[in-house]
Amino acid sequence: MTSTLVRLALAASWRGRHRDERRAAVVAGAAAVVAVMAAGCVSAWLLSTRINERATARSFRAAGSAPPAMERSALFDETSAGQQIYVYWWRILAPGARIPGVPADPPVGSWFVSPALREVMRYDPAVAERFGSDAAVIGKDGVAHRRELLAYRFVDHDSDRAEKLSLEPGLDWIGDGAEVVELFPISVAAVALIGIPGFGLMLAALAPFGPVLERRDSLLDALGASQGTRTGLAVAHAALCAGPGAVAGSLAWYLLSRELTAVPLVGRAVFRGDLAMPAIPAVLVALGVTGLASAVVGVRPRRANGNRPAQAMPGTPPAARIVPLLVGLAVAVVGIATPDRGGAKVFLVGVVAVAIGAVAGLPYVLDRVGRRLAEHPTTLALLVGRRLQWDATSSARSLVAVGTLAVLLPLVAAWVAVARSLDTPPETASYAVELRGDVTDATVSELAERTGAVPVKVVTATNGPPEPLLVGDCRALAEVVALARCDASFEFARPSRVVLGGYERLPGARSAPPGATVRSTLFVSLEGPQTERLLRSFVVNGTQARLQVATPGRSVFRESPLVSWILGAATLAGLVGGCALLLHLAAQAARSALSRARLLAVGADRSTLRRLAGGEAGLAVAVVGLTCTAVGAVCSWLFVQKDPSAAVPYAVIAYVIVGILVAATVAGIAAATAAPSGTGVARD
Amino acid sequence: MALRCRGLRLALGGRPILEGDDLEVARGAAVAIMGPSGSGKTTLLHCLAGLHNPDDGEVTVHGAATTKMNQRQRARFRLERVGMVFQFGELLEELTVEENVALPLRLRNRHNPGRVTSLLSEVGLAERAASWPAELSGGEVQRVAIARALIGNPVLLLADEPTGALDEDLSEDVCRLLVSMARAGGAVLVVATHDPLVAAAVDAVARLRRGKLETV
Repeated sequence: MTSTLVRLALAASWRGRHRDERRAAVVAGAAAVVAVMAAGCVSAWLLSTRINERATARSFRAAGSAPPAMERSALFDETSAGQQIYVYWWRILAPGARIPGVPADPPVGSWFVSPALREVMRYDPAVAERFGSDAAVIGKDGVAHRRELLAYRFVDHDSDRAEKLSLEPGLDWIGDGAEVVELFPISVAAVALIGIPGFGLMLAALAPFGPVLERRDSLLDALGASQGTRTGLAVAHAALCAGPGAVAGSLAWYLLSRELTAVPLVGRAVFRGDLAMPAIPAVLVALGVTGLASAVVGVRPRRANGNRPAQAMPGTPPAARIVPLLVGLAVAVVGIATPDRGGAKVFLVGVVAVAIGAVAGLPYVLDRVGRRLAEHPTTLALLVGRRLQWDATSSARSLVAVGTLAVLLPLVAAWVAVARSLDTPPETASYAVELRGDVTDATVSELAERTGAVPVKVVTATNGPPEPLLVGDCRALAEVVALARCDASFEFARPSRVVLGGYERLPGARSAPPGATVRSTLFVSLEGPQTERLLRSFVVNGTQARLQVATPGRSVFRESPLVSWILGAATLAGLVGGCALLLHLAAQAARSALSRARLLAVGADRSTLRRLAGGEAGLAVAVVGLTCTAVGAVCSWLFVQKDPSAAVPYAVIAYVIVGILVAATVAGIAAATAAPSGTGVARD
Repeated sequence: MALRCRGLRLALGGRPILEGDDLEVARGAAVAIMGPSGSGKTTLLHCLAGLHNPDDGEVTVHGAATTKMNQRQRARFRLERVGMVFQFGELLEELTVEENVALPLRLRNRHNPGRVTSLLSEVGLAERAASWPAELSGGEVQRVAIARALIGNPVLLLADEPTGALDEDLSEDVCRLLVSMARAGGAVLVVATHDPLVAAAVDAVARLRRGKLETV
């Protein structure tokens, strides 16, 4: 039975007629694209994991009562083009003790710099002079990521300077943690911006199979084949079409990924091999994509055939289809209403649910629009409306990628707008620094007394890891806390903090309510540079050990690394959406060819058929695109509620609407141009 | 003569289908074209309807030479003067019965709901006006197709195997309806068929053999 199924499936795909082979090639191509996208996601996830692992491996604490093997002190006293260079001084206590990326027993007085810092030293003489031209390069295993500016200095046991450095046997973290991307938002973004459009592309590629499968299913049913056999044949057919593409895509990425030195479309520099895809995940990706195509075909609904009761209007979708959309919106609203990081995660999950719910509800929307249009007295409206109704489910299925994009683009725009507002460097007159380490209440009090800065406690009701103390003048901090006035009588309008690269409004207060946990304290100073000098002096010479000052504000307020990832994923989603749109047009032309041939026989002229084809194609794209854009705009509005200063990205939403209208027009013109050439009803 | 064909020649894909066929039919008369599968019956009907333009020869319907018309004029002529019935009805599955019947009039911007209702009553399907084609039996589909073909009062009614998918009782029913309604409207009826029942119901029979039409 299995071999018969495979033979039949082969005959229907690669050994079939030219038209069948063309359909199979389209599915194989889509499977290759989806496999590359999926494999790229896996590589990105592995990259993040590798960065996290390397960053974790070089950070240590002194283990129990054992004598420490080395000590270190963080100085952070150098910058390059406004970017912090993370400078650590080390003292090796146990001969042979290893620091990742540095050979055992490095010479006393030597400098080791990261590959990125070595690059900076080539064009910045001041930096080169500071670290010396003979500085060695830290190996890849000691550098979290390729853009990291890191320097190690090794000092002697008896060095006077070492005694003044407050060397400690271990600290929690080395370097800049900003590049260590949280896996949760990356995963959710990958599902939303790559998973759903990729799925949509596969649906669009498989759409032309619909009528073929229906006819064959009906015929086999009439011949007495069981449901299992018929489904098995459909699944085998899809697997044979998608399999070669999935394997080719996965293999291509497997070979390419180990040579890449930057993430495609994202542009972030990486070490060669950091994106390398192991063989087993590559095989799993190929199998997964093939399985996805098979599953789509295996579970697709069949229209009425001879053995089933006829449906009044096949595919008439129930109103329950919009329930997932409403549930997704409810989850997003709950996420907005929930403070802290948990709320942000719930919101992201809600947004993905909204994107899925929106596309799931599209057949219902298309059906309603078609029904209303068919009530219009003109013949063209009747025909276009009824076609929309008839093909609501099929059209929506092949427009999943376009719909998803229309939902997500306004939201991505809102997110990027929020994240990008951090990118604006503080004015030259303003400044902000980070105070790292064990910031206690005593530290805050002493610091306030010595620097004249005003502490403002930002409180939340939950516990979490300690956060760096932000110290800055009110112009710099206004970016974060929405200062109403920037003078001696400054006031916080709505305290907020950076979460997932964007702002999250905090239920902040100038004094902590009973029972609340102080999560961080903002210092606002009216004397910027002076305060920084005081602060450094306070840390180096004072009694507050285990504290470091990181300079300057730009490192605090710079753009989230998530931005480039999200923009890269959005670009990929846009390309995939464009491909899916083209496939949709081809599928729709095939689906409605018979209707047009019948109209031609009745007496409709070709211009009527062109207007009908154009109206049908254009309207489907417009209805799907605009509906989903409206949903995306609502999500975007919800998102900016977390940010005290951000506005709904009306301009981007307008661009999306214009883009949808242009796409609908192009789709309409393309469909109208492909006028039917034959009657399609000749039988003799 | 209401319908006149002279020397129709047509080759499709390099293969000659019609080889100089002649046909003349008077107003209100019914003719059956019989012949084996692949003999060119459907192609001949398509030439009469203006769906195909012959390589050579002339088709005249009530004095109008359709073979001299351009594509747009032929479509207009088909819409206003010709009705067609196909073997499987070829209704638009996304339109209701009523909308299918009304379609030729609506395409001419002359929607006439009263005429649609009356014609549906004549074919015995008034109560199925709001049904979808998928809900109809084979005989009902053909009756709807006949109503659609007649809605515009055509002068030429072409039927391609109209009983080919029906059983004997239904064939007789559809055949009687087709001939009587064509006669009542004064239209020329040309039927391509294998069915002896149809052949028995019409005024004349012509046989198509290897592209040549022979009057029986």
